[in-house]
Amino acid sequence: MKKFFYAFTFLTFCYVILNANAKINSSINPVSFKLNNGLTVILSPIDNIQAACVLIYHTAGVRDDPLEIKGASYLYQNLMLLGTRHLEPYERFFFVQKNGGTSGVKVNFDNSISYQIIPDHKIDNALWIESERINSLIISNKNINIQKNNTYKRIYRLMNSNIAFKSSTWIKSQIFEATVYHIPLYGNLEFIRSFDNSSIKRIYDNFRNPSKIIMVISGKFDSKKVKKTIKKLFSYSFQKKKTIKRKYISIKPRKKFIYKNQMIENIPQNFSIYGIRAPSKLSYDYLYFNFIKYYLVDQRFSELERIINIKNRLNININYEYTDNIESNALIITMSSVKRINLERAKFLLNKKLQSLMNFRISSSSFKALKSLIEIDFMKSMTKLEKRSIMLAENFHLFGNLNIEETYLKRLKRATSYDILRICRKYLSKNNRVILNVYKK
Amino acid sequence: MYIKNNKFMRNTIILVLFILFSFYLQADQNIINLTSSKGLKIKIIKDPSLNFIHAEILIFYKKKIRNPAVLYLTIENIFNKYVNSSGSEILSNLKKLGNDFEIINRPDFIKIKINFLPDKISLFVNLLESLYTYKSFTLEKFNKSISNYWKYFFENSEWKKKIVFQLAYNKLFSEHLMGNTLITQSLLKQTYFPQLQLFYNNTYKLNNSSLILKGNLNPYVVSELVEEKFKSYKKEKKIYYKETKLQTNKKQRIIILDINRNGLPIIYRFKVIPSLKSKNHIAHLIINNILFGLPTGKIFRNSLYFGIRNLNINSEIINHKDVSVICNTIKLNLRDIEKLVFLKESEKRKLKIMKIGKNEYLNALNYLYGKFKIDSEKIENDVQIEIDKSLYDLKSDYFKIPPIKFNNIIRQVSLNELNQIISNSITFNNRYKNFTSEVIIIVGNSKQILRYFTVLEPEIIKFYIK
Repeated sequence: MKKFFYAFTFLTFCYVILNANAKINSSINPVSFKLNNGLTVILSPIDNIQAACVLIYHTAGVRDDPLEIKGASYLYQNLMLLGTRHLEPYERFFFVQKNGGTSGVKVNFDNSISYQIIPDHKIDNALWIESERINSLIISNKNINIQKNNTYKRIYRLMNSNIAFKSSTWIKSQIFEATVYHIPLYGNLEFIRSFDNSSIKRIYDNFRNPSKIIMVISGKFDSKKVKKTIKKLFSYSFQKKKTIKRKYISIKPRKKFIYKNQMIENIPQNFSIYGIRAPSKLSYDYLYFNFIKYYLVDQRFSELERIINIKNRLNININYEYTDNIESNALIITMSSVKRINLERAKFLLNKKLQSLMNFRISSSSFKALKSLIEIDFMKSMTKLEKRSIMLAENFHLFGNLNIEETYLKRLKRATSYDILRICRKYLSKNNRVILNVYKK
Repeated sequence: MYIKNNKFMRNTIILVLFILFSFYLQADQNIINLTSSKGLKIKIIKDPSLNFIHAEILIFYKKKIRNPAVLYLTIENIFNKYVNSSGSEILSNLKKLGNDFEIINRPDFIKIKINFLPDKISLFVNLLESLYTYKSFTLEKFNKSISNYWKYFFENSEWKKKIVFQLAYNKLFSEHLMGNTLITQSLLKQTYFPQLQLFYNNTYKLNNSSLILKGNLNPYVVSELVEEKFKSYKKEKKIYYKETKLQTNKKQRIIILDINRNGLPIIYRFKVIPSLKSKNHIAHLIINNILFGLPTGKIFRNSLYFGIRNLNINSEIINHKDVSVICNTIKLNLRDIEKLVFLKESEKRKLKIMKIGKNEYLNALNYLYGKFKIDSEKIENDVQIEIDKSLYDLKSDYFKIPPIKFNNIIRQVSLNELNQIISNSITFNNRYKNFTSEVIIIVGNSKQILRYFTVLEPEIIKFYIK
């Protein structure tokens, strides 16, 4: 009896301790496996929520398009929402809406992403819908023509009525000169309508090719059940020539300064756009450049805002854009003002700031605050299912590992203000800048 | 043998009690409620998996201030970086924490959301101290905040939504603290520096605030840090204000907020529904989904028959102590606005005559069930649940408490009860009985909008930007 009593006590203790640990480990380390057809699956369970994300990351994007229809993949951003063998057009979108979730499709240069955030009990349906999109999308000539015309009209209208859009397109083409990102995502506007429909249909194979798919399931789900469903729905055979794994290369900063002035009638404001070629996602420099981006333009920190608008009261609108490419990126800063004199002073201050960043380290207090902010933003992204899934897929695609949190934080903690100084010297030099000034006539 | 048995019994009882106690501790260990000696209510939601701390500070507005500009200008004077161009202790503390913060000004309280890293908890307590012992109000800053009020206002990317909410609450609850929202140029002119200081002294108090922290935190460390920091803070008696009963304006209004800008209009429809505390709250959420849901809602489904194209509807629910407000944001073409208003009215009336069908009821429940589950992804979700629970005095069967169960939601209202609520609240003579106050605000260019109005005569309010 006594023995039984002690055994019972011991077991109870074990149970209590295990139960406590189970509560602490609400997010379990992600695992990956491959299906026989080459499709990669990453499972990242999180127990303390009741939602799940089904994300399909295609390692194919606009850069994979044949030269004569470059930009055709961009049309798939809408074509992907059309009907399949068993689904009506837009039914995928409505399914997610009906269940209180969100969804999206995005085609980039290097990759394409399609995701659904759904309540955990609908995960099987979400997987089935994705399998429909991959296996039986109905792409008719009529639909392709509609998309070609819509894209052409939208871009044409923007190019002719939105001077900011036109200027930004020009800046990007100059920053990425002689790289794969040289032409816009939608391709050459003149040729969109003459893209060959059968060639566009053939691009669907890029999205179907299982060796170019990384599927990420994150959130609450039963791993065993999900694995079984994935195997059932995605083990399709795909006959294609052997796909050669692309080798990505980090593109170096530019070596030639470009400067252009334009005088235009009837524009509400004068503006200047500064384009800076930024590091590749493959390099450590990418993280360090983040410090510069946050330091200069992030709304919560913006040093430019401080020196231009708070200290010198120039009343300048400052906006920025940061691209999301693998081999090379661009930080584009736009400053606009009704008064040209203020804009000129702001440009002077920006140039001075860029020069001082190349000469001196940023202050220790600013560096510490930036480090905290970047770390918080990263942690916040990891709590959002969509962002977490994208980061997992991208990290696996580029580096083949899943311990993203540990790697990123280790790198971030090691960063010093000297690293930032080195990156400033490398990327903020005059030769790596493209400037466009647009003034009122 | 008897003695041995007795000993065994005693040990067993101790063991059972120990197990029960450990289960009790486990059940409650995630949420810890504390109150500091100076009256600050602290709630800590322990989440060891979260690698940063999410904090929310709530400061309540209890007394109706005649001039709402005082409320807004106090915030501007404390937090606006342009007003505080020469620096301030609060802003410098926020910067040290990473500067990831957001201020939400509501008619009933101000909410300050801050994210920071766990090793900066003492810095966060410093921030609390600088917030509750703020002495940097200056006439220069005050004048700056008044003269640049509209400049700062329009710099906010959501200024249209902000002014629409101010206007809607003003129209819905004009006689109450909650309707004390609309700021005009003349009100700004009537604002004086001492009013700000007085308001700050009466409102920004520890015993008038709540602090909710979520993350991997030791509650006792937090408590000790707070006690230590506010050692010399004068403990004040809590002032109880007599709460005035909330009365809503029953008249249905359609307003055009003319911002003199061309482009697609946005329609905001505000509807007052029973509060979270009421059993009918969820019934009204279901009705809203049956009418305005996308893609299953009656309005979306029937919009094509009415010739309405490119309809986009979003719904947002704002909870208050005595009522909740649903805000539907609708984007559509200019020519379809009047049609939409008629479609909404006709669908509402049809609900009464034709009753809600089982499918519609289940679709709406399914949507809510999914939505509450999806919300569990957000870091703020359980913080919001705790705030709701304490602010609105909700019981443990609050339907948003995880794990969300379909039965918990369906139990709130049956199909019969739902149809009963509809027949009680909608009447044919365009008068409404309970909780049916409604305001529709159309934001755009009034000349463009009115061109397509043939029957309705909306009120026009001009809000021009210089």
